[in-house]
Parts: sequence; structure tokens; C-alpha cells
Amino acid sequence: MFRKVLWIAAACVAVLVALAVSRTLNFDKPVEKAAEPAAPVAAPPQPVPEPKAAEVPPPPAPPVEKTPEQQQIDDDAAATGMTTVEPDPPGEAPRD
Amino acid sequence: MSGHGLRGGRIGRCLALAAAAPLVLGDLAMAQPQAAPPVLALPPAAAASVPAPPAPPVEIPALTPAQAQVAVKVLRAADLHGLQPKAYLPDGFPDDGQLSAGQQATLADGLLQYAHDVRIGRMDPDKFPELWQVRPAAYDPAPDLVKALADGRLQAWLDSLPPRYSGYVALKRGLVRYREIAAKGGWKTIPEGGKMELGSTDPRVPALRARLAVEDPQVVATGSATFDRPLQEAVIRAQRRYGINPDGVVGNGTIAYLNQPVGQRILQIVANMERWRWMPATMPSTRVQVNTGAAIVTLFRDDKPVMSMKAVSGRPGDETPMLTSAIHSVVINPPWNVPSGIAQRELWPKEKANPGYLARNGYRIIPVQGGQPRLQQASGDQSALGRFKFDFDNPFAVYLHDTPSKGGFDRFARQASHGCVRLEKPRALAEALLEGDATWTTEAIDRQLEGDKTVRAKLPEQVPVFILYWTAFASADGQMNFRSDPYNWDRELLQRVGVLASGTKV
Repeated sequence: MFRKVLWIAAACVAVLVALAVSRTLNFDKPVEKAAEPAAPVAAPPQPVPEPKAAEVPPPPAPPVEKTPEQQQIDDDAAATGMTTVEPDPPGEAPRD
Repeated sequence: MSGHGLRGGRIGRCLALAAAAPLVLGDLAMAQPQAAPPVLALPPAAAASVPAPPAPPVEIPALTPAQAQVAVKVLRAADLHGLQPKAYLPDGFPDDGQLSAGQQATLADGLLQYAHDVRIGRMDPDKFPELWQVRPAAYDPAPDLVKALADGRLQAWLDSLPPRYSGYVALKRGLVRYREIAAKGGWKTIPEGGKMELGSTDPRVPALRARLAVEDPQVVATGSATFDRPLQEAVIRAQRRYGINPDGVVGNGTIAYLNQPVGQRILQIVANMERWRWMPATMPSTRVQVNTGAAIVTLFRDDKPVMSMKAVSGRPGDETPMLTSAIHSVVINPPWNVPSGIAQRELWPKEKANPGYLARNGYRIIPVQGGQPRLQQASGDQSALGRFKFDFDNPFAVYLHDTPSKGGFDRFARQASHGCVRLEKPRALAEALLEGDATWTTEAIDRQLEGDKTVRAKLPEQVPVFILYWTAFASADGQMNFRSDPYNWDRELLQRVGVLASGTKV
């Protein structure tokens, strides 16, 4: 009799252990869909090139604000004869 | 113009200091280095140079058809430089480059004349008035023309001949613009009448708007007969361009400037372009420039304007000469050795009418053996030369100086001196010129000015000075500015180069 009780208890323990293990294995989790066959690998699309910064002229530097005094000096310089020299035209003049 | 010759009263009109310097400066020669200061490069003194022996005639080779076409094109465009194409090329001259031997010779002559005129001007070197000492060096274009033809660089050579200065280039643009205005009929005159000012309503206001719009792109040509704020601002801009009081009120004085015909403005531009050709090809980077026509002084340093001030230049009849020289020293607390002409005409009569006048004004009488006594005004606040005098060598004994009469700078027509140039800010100029001199610090100048002791401060480096006469110039925004030709030198110049005498439409 005692042996029968022991077998029953062992069986219960086995059932409980199996139950606990089954919970850890997450058997109630929904089955994931099988992965679809991979699409053929296409070349990644080239990023749309941004407009080249070099083609756009840089924004003009903001004009330097002259002080009234400097403006007056410049105006007076024009009145006394603007003797600064005009820059040379770029490049060499063509031959005749 | 005979009146502009070197007259007896001209030399020493301001001060015969050179002769009297030992008297008045005595031992005050002043704590300055004894070695001669370095002199900045000055343009060659063409007027004083001995004329070179005439070069052997240079034969000009025949121009290729392409060169002939270039030449004809440039000569036909001579009016861009205020010159007359007919002076260089006859009407009907072929422009296809296919020239006969005679036409080759005509073209070569025209090229040589044009090259001469556009580079150094049309004035006969022997006919410069004495007061016009800014003169070009002689120029024979023949060797350069031969080389340009041989090198195949005729166009480049012709382009290199006119002055390269911004002032000249701006006048060239102005000439094109004012000729366009003339071609469209110029501008209508505005009738004289009462003053027009902000808020007033006048039937002449529309005419004023239309007139201002011709020269000023900011002005709308049409509008009501009421003088509004934008019109006032336009009037102020115009008054500034003419060098008159910019009060925004249009009286008959302003109207007289506005009514100057466009042809007159074109002639002014042409006269001033001619003067630019007398300038040296390059300028020293540090220099003082004076425009006696506008009575303005500018100091350039490193080729940039760094200081400017109003001036008072010689009055008509006592015109300040055009000249180049170099400021070598600043005299602090200068006495005034009165030129005999001024003494006789102005001071002795005052003494007779008001005995004690001379003594009260600091003059002392210096006996001269066998001659008229001289007058000398002591240094100090009442000295006619003020506290500073800037000395430079010249045959007219003119110089730049301070003045106790500061009110003269408030005027807009500032041709009122005996020929010297009075400065609005002499102290600032003195400090700028003496900069770098360890002796003449600001504090040292202050100490000197506490008394009346005369002292001559030699500049560490002589500074070239150019006394010029401009009556037309462009401001930084390209707008043409005009002055009233106070010495009448524009007209005289145009007559001397045949522009007015010939009756040619310019």
C-alpha cells in the first residue's frame, strides 16, 4: 500500500514537473508564419543626388556696413580724385 | 588766360616763410633726426625736366588688314574718351582694312595722334598756364606703336593708353550716360519762383520730379504737385551731388544748378578727363590729395582713403595752383610772415583806418633796410595760420595750414583764401603724418600747443601732396557729382584744347 502511495506521489510530481517545463517552453505562443521566400535581391536604389553645392554660387557676403565717417571719407576721396587703379582684365589680351 | 600767369603778387601770397625761416624759427629746429628723411617716390617733375633731344623719326610699318580694322574701330570710338574721332580719322575712311599707301599713312598718323592725346592729353606742353603745374611727361608713341604692330598686340596697346584710375573710368561711364541723356533731349528747365519745400504745393513740382528723375534712378518721374518726403530726399541727394547746402529746399540757387544744360555737364566731364591724363601713371601709396574745386582734402594710406576733411582753397583771383610736391615738415605754432601784397592791400589800410589794429592782432613791424617794413603776426590762437602749417616745396609759397576762422568750413563754396589751403582738422592730419615719430607723440604735441613757441617737426617720411582741380567726379554709387568750376579752369582748358573754340559738339 505504502508503495502504491509513493508511486502515485511520484507520478504527481512528474506531472507537475512536466507542467512546469511545458510553461517554460511557452507552448501556447501562436505559431509564427513561415517566412516567405526571399525576394530576389535588387540593387539598393541610388540616393537622389542633391544639387551640387559647387554649382551654386555661394551667397554673396553681406555688404559691410560702412560707418558714416567711413562713408564720408570715401565720398571725399571720390571728390579729391579716386586714384586707386582699376584691376587688370583677366587673362592676356588676344593678339591682333 | 593772361590772368593766370605767374604774377608778381602770386609768389609768397600766403607766406614768404622760406626766406624768413631763420628769423622766426631760430634755434627751434627741433629735436629731429638730422639725416634727410626718406622721400616717397614722386612722379617725375615733367615741368622742370630738360626736354630730351628729339628722337630720330620712326618708320611705322604698314598695318595688316586685321590691324587696320582694329585701328579704325578704336579711332572711331575716340569719343568714349572725350576726344573727337574726326581729329584722327577722316570721314569715309574704309573700315575693311584694305588700304592704299596714302590711307596707310593717314591711319598711322591718326593712331600716333590718338595715342598721344588719350595718354597725355591735348594740351600743348608749352601752353600750360603757370598755375597748372600738374603736367604730364612728354610721350612719343611711335616706338610703342611699332612694337605693338610687330608683336601683333595693337588692341592691347591701345587699351593700355588711357588712365587706369577709377576716377577716370567713372568719368568715362558718366560721359556715356550723359550723352545718352542728351540724345534723348536732355532735361527741361524749371522756372524760377518761390521756394519749394516739404508740404508745399507748386505747379513746378511735377517738372522738378521729372528733372530729378533724369539723373537719379531712385526718383519716379511722375507724381502730384505736392512736395512730398521722397521728393525732399531726392532734392537732398541732388544738392549733395552739386556740393550745395543739402537742406531739401528748392530755391532759385538749387534751380540754377538743376537748369545747367546737359551739354554743360558733358563738357565738364570732358575737361576733367583731360586733366586725368596729366596725372602720373602710378601714385605713391601714402599721399595727401586736395581738390581745390570742391575744397576737400583726403589722406590716402596704403592706397586707401583713411582721413578726409573740408578745406578752404584760394578764391577766384587768388587761385590755389595745381601742383605736386612732398610735405616735409609740420610747423607747430607758426607765425605768419605777411606777404607784402596782402599787407599793402588789406592790413595797412586797416591800420590807417583804425590805429592800433596791427598791435591788437599780434602783428609786429619788422624794418627792412631800404625797403618797406614787413609785417609778421605772432604765433598763437590769433595767428592767421592757426596752430599747424604743413610745409612743402613749391614756387608759389603755398601750403596747408590751420586757421582761427573755423566758420569758413560751414560754407559750401569754400574758395576764400589767398591761395593757401586751410584745413578743417589740421591736428588730426599732423598726428597722422607724424605717426611713428617717437618725438612727436600726442602728448608732445599737446605740450607744444600749451604755449606759442614755434617748432618745426620734420616728418619721418616725406608725404607726397597732390593739389588738383576736379569739378566732375563719380561717387561710389556711380552717380555723377559736379561742382561749379569756381576758377573757370574747365572753360579755359576746353578752349586751349580746341573743344570750345572749334564749336564741335562734344
